[in-house]
Amino acid sequence: MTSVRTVAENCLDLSGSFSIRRDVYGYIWGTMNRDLSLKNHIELIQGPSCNLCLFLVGHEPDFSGEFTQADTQRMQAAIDVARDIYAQENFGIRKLYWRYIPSSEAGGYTVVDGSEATDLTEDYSGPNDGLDVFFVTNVTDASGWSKVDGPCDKDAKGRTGSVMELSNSDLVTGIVLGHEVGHYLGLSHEGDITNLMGDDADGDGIGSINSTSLNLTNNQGNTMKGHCSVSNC
Amino acid sequence: MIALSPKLSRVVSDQALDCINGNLSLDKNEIDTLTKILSTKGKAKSPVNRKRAVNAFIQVAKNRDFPEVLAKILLDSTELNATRIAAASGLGKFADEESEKALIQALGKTNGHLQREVIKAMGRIGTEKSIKALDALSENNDPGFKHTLTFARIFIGYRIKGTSIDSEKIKEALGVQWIKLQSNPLSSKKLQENIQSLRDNTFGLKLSDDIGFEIMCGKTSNTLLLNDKFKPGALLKNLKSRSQISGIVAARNPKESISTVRNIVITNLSESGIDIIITRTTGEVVYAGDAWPEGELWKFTLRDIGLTSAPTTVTGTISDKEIIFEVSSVSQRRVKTGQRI
Repeated sequence: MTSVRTVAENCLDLSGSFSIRRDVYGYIWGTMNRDLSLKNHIELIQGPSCNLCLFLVGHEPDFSGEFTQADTQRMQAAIDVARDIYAQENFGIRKLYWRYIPSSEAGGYTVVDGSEATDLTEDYSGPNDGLDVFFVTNVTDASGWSKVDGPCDKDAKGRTGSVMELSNSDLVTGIVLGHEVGHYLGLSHEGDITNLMGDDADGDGIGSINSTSLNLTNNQGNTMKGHCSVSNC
Repeated sequence: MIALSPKLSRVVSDQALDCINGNLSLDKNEIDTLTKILSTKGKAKSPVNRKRAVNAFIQVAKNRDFPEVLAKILLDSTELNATRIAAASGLGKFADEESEKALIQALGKTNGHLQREVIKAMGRIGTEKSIKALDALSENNDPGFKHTLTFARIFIGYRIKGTSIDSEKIKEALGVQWIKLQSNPLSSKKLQENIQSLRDNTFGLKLSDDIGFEIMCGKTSNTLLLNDKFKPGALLKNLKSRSQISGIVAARNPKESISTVRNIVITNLSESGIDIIITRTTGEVVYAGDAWPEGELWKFTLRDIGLTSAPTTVTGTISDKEIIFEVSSVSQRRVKTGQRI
């Protein structure tokens, strides 16, 4: 087995002393309320993986903005849920870049509908090697929005990231995150509510997921691995 | 207890989340049931997520009871904020006296995100009545709030006939800057310098050493260099003589002695005058337009095409003696990166 240090150096650009939770997992917001399996994680992030750039829209460093410390901990727990779901198909989420848009800049982007979500992703972009995910206070007309098979060129016109709101549970927030990033990586709705990509069996355009939407198929895993943002380390 | 069809149950269940709203279709009975759930707060047989129900209602209800149902939800302080926000947003999709009335009523009774969503909705459908109501909020100095408020007022102002619009205020409120750059003829010495700085990289064109133009854009000098068929005193005549590569646009930083070709100017004779396209050196067309006779002069206009973050127009006139043109652009919208945590 490759050592943690080797993986940290090769895959995460870490050197010197580092924290497993903070630097290897990218969970910068304090303690986790989930058990973390380091062995699985470092194996996964060496294989096909993507990076995420997580934007907190309307956040203030002293938590006086849109998100409390508990909210940020819920975000990192949700990422861990998404990591577990993707792990079924040996797909990793390697690096997490955390960004925030201060309240003074966020303007109307704290509460968005589908078209404002597109504007938000056009206006803001994180590092080129990470898929942008924007956490907003409220998505008025859904729980999240994402482009299916999104571009890797952040200067592309249209939606160049995923936008989502937090739900009341870590599990469901993690499923929504996995679902939206799954869209970006090329997945469409499946027709099975127990699948991460949810139910749109009758093709009426409503994609629904719930707390049981935890499965990912081999075909879906292969689609994700074929996305332009995915690389091996 | 209100019974829900399997489809409606799936659409409004509080055990599920919407990830994409699409072309939802419900039958008449289902729409009636949905209206009943929302307007009476009647208990359904399975738990309902009222935000999802509002969004479904917005998609399917169209004209039916639309403002009344949503207004009731918006004004009900016992509803969750997310549900009321969805209702406000829905009212902003239906221009109707009742919708506006409800939004105006809600304006003074709400704050924070909900109030901003109400303002946004008023901007989309409001009339003079909304402008009056919005004026009462102009003392709030929060920049984000001010922007939403101003934009809503502008939006309404543009829709209403007879409203005077202060364009300077609009530019200020929207943070837009128009930039106008005037062309200047190059002196003979400067023209020579510019041609030399291209180091023969002229795409095979012989360039005129009699006439060229400069536009300063920041610290960069952009020069329009014409092909040597263009002779002083016969510029228009030369232009009309044939379809041709009329010139190149080169850019040069004053600290550097080397210019690089940025664009190629192609002019094609047409029935109405001359079609003009400006390409990158790769052949990708970036500006297009035409020139047409107007009295003794010819006028021309070019606009950038395709994706751009700084919309630009080039307008000007051509006579045998001179070419005068102006470049108008708006301040560039840059991709922002947020703050590092």
